Amino acid sequence: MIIIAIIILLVIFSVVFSFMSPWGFVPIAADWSEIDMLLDATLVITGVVFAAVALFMAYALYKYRNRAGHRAEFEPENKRLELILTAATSIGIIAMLAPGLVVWNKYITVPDDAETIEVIGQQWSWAFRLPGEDGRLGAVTTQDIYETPFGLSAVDLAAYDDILIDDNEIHLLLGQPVKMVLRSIDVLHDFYVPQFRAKMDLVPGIVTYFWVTPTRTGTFEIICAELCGVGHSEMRGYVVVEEEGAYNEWLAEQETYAELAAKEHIDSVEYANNSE
Amino acid sequence: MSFLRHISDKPWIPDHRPTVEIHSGMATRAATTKRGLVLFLSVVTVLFLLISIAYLENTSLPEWKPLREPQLLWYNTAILAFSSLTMQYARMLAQKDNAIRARQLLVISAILAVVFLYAQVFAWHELLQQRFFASTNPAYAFFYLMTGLHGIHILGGVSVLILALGKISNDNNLDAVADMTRLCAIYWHYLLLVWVVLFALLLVDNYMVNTFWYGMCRS
Amino acid sequence: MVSTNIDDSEVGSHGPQSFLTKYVWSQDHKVIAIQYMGTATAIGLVALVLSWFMRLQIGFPDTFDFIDSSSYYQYVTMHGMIMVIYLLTAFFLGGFGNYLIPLMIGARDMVFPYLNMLSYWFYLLSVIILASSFFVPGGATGAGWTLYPPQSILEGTPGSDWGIILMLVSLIVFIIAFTMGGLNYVITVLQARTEGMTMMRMPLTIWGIFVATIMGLLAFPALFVGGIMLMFDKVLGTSFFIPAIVSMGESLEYGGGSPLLFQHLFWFFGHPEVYIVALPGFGIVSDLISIHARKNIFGYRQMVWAIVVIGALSFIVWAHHMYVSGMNPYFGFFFAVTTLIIALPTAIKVYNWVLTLWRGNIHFTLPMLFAIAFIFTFVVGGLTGLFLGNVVVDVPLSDTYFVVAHFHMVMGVAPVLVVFGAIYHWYPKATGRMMNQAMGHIHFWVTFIGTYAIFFPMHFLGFIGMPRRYFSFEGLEFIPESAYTLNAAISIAAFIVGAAQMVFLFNLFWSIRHGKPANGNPWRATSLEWQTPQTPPVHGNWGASLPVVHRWAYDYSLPGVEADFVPQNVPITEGETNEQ
Repeated sequence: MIIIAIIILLVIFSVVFSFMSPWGFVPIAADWSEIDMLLDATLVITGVVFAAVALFMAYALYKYRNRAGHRAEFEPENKRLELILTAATSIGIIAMLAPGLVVWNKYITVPDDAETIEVIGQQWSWAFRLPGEDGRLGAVTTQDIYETPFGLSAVDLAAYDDILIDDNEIHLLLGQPVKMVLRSIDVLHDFYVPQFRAKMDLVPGIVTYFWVTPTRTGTFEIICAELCGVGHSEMRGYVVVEEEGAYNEWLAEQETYAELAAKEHIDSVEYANNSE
Repeated sequence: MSFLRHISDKPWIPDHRPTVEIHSGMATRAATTKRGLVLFLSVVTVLFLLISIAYLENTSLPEWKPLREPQLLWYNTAILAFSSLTMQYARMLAQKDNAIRARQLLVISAILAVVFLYAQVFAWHELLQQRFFASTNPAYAFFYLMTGLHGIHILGGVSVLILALGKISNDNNLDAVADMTRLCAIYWHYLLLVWVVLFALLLVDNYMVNTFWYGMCRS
Repeated sequence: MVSTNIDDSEVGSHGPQSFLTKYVWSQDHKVIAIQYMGTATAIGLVALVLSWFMRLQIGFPDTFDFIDSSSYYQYVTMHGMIMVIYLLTAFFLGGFGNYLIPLMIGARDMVFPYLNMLSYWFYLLSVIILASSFFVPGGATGAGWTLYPPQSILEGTPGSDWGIILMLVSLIVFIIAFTMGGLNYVITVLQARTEGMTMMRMPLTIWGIFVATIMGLLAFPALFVGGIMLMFDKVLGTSFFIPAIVSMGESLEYGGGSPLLFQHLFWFFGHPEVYIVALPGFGIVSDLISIHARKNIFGYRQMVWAIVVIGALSFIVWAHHMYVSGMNPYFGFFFAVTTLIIALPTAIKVYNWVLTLWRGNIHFTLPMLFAIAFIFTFVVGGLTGLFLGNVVVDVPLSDTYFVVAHFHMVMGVAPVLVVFGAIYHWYPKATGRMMNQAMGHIHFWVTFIGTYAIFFPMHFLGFIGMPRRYFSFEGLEFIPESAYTLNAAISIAAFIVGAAQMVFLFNLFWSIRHGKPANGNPWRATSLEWQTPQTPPVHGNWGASLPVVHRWAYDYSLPGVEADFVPQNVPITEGETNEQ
C-alpha cells in the first residue's frame, strides 16, 4: 500500500521538479530554437505519458490489491485494446519523429551564404583557421604539423592567405551563418558550445562539419564533449560573438600564413645573424 | 514458415491432444549436437562477415594500397580443398558402416589440415621475409588478421577431431563414428568455404568494390 | 536413440559425490549458476565502490587527494565495463539463464554440461584478468567503456600500456566464455524441452533469456573483431582504426585506418547489448507480475512477439549512438526511424505489464514491489530514450549528463531491480528458505527511492549542458553554482543506496540459515521449477521421471477452478475450455 502513495508522490515530485527546477537550458545564442522547441515538446509528451502510465498503475494497484474474497480475472488478451494502444503510441512517436527529421535535414544542410571556419582539435586545446580572401582553405598534412604552422602545405597557393589563429578563442560575426569544419590531429574530440545547442565530433583522418548562426553577442565557452584523455575536462576555449565593427577589428589583428612565414623568416635570419 | 505458425498459437486454450503429439520432448543426441554446431557456425559467420565488411570499408579509404597477390595461397587453397574431399569421403564411408577406413580418412584429413596450417605459416614467413609486416599497411594487417583467425578455427577443428578420434578409436559404436564424422565434415566444408571467400576478397581487384563503397559510406 | 536428457538411471544413484566435484568442478547447471552469480556479485561490488569514488570527486571536487584526473577516468571506465558486461550480462544469462532454463522447461540439465562448466571457468578467468589490470604499471585503462581509438591506445590516456591490453584480452576471454554458455542455453531451449512443452507454453522468462542469448551470440563477434583489431593496432602497430596522427608532440607511424569503423563495430555489439541485459529482465518481470498478481500475463503472444521484434530491430539501430560522431549525416534519418520504431514493441510490453495488474489480485510481496519499481523506473528511462533517439534532439544532449541519467535508468537501475526481485522470488527454490522480510523492505525502499533521487535530477544537469566524463567542472561559467549543490546531493544519495546493498548481501547469507523455511512452492506458482520433487532441486532436477506439461505457464485464477493457480504439469480436465 505504501508503494501506491510513493508512486503518486514521485509523479508529483517529478512534474513539480520539471517546472520549478532552476536547472534548464542555458539561454540560446544561435539559430537553433527549433531544437529547443522539439525538446520542450518531447518533454511535454513524454511527461504526460509518464504520469498517465504511473498513475494508472497506482490506481490499478489500489483497486485490485489483495483482500479477503477478492479474486483475479482470467483475461488472456484483448486484441482491440492492444491495437488501439499501438495506434495511439505510433501517432505520438510520429508526432515527435517527423518534425525531428525535418530539423535534422536543416541541421546537416549548410546554407550557401555560410562562411567557413576550420576548427582544429588536439590534446588539449583548440585552434582555428579562416580561409582568407580566396575563400579556400589551403591543403594540410597532419604529420607536417611540426614542420609548418598547422601542417600547411608550402606548395598550395590557397594556403598563404589562410588566417591562422593558434589560440583558444575564436570570434564570430553576429547573424552570419558559419560552417564549422572540424579536424583533429590526434584523437576524437567534440566541439560543443552549450548556448549554440549544436555539436559535432572531430575525427582524426576525416573532416566533419556542422553549421550555426550566432544570434546573440557575448562570450561563450567551448568545451570538448568527447572523452579525449586525462586533460579532457581542461580542453576549453571561447567563442566571442560580436557586431561587425568589433569583429572586423579583431579580424584585422589576425595573421595570415604568409605574414607568419615572413615573420618567421625574419626571425630565423635574425637568429642566424645573432649567432654569428 | 512454421516459426510464424508456432508463435501465433494461443497457448491458453486447452489442447486435448495427447501431450506426446503436442511436443514429444525427444531429441536425439546427434540432432542436438548438430544444431549446436550449426549455431556455432552462425556465430563464426557473423565474425568473418564483420571482418569482410570492415575490409571492404577500409578499401574505400583514399590511402588504401591493395595487397600484392601471394601466389603461394593458391597451393594452400588446394591443400585445404583436398582435406575437405577426404573428409567427405570419410563421411560417406562412415555412413556405409566402414568405421575403420573412415577413421583412417579422418586422420588423413587432420594431417592435411595441419599441412595447410604449416603452409599458411610458411606464407606468412615469406611475406615477413620480404618485410611486409602487419604494420606495413592495412591490406597486410587484414591479411594477417583474416588468415590468423581462419587458422585458429582450423586448429580448433583439428584439436577436437584428435580428441574425438581418441574417444572412438576402440569404439565399435558405428553410430558414434558416423555422427562425429558428419559433424567434422560440416565443419571442414564450412571452413573451406570461409577460406575461399576470404581468399577471393583478398584477390579482388579493389576497383569495383571501391567505387561502390565509396558512394555508400562517404559523404 | 540417445536422449538429450541424462538417462534416468543416472539420477540420484551416482550423482557427483565429493565436495570438489559437487561445488567446484561441477557440471550441474544450478551450481554453475550460483558460481556465475557469486563471481558477478563480487566484481560488481568492485564496480559499486568505483562509482562511490567517482561520486566523491563529482560531488566534492578537490577534497580527496587519491582521486586525480587519471584515476577518475579509470574509475569511470572500469565501473561502466564491469557493470554492463561482467555483472549484468553474466548475472542474467550465466546466472539466471543457467539456473532457470533447465528447471523451467523441464530438462535435467543443459545439453552440453561440460561446455557449460568451461564457460564458467573462462568467465572467471576473464574477471581475474580484468581485476589484475588495476595492478599493472599505468593501471587500468581510462579510455571510457567505449574504448574509442585512437585515444584508448595512445599516451595521454591512463592505462594505455598494459591496462588496455588486459582489458581487451579479458573481453576476448569473456566472449569465448559467453559463446560456450550461450550455445548451451539456446540449444537447450530448442532441444531439451520436456514432453508437452511447446515454445509458446514457455514462461516469458525463458523467452527473454532465449532471445537475448541469440542476440548475444550474434552481437559479441562484433566486439570480438573490434577488440582483436584494436589489440593489433596497439601491439603490432597495425592501422585498422588509426589514421595518420600526431601524439604528444611526435608524428606516429600509423596511417590509413578509420576511427569510425571501431565505433560501428562497437555499437553493432553495444546496442544489442542493451537489450541483452533488458530482455531477460522483461521476461522475468512479466513472470513476477503475473505470479504475484495471481493473474495470467496479459497478451502473452504480444509479449513474445515484442521480444522477438525488439531482438531483431536492435541490430539495425546501433548508429543512434553515433549521431554526432561524424559519420555520414544522412545515416541519421535511417537510424532515427528504426530507433523510434523499436519504441513501439517496448511500449506494448509496458502496457501489458500494467494491464496484467488491472483486474489482478495484487499481493505486495518483495518480488512484486521490485517489479513495480522496475516498471516505474523503466518507463522513465524508456521515455528519455525518445529524446536521444530522435536524432536532432540528441544533438544538444549527447555526451551530457542527460545520457548518463537515461542509460542508468533504463539499463542500470531497471535491470538491477529485476535482479533483486528475481533473487527474492527464487531464493526459496534455491535454498529452501525465505529471505528476511524486514531487511528486504529496507533494501527495497532505499534502493527504489534512492536511485530515483540520484538519476531523476541528473537529467536536468544534462539540460544545462554539463558534459559527462569530466574530471572537473571548475571554471565553467555556464554551469550555475546550484548545480554543484545538486551534484553533492546526488553523491550523498549514491552513498546511501550503495550502503543499502550491504543490507541485501547480509540478508542473502543470513537467510540461508535463519530464513523462514519455505515449502517447494511458496508463491503458489504454476511454472515447472516450483514443481520439482525436492527443494532445493537435486542433481538431475526431476527425480525418476521428467514432468509432462499440459498447459501454459499462466493458468492463474482460472474460472471454475477453486485454487487460484493450476501448475503446468496438471492434466487438462475433460471439457476444460478457456475460450474468451
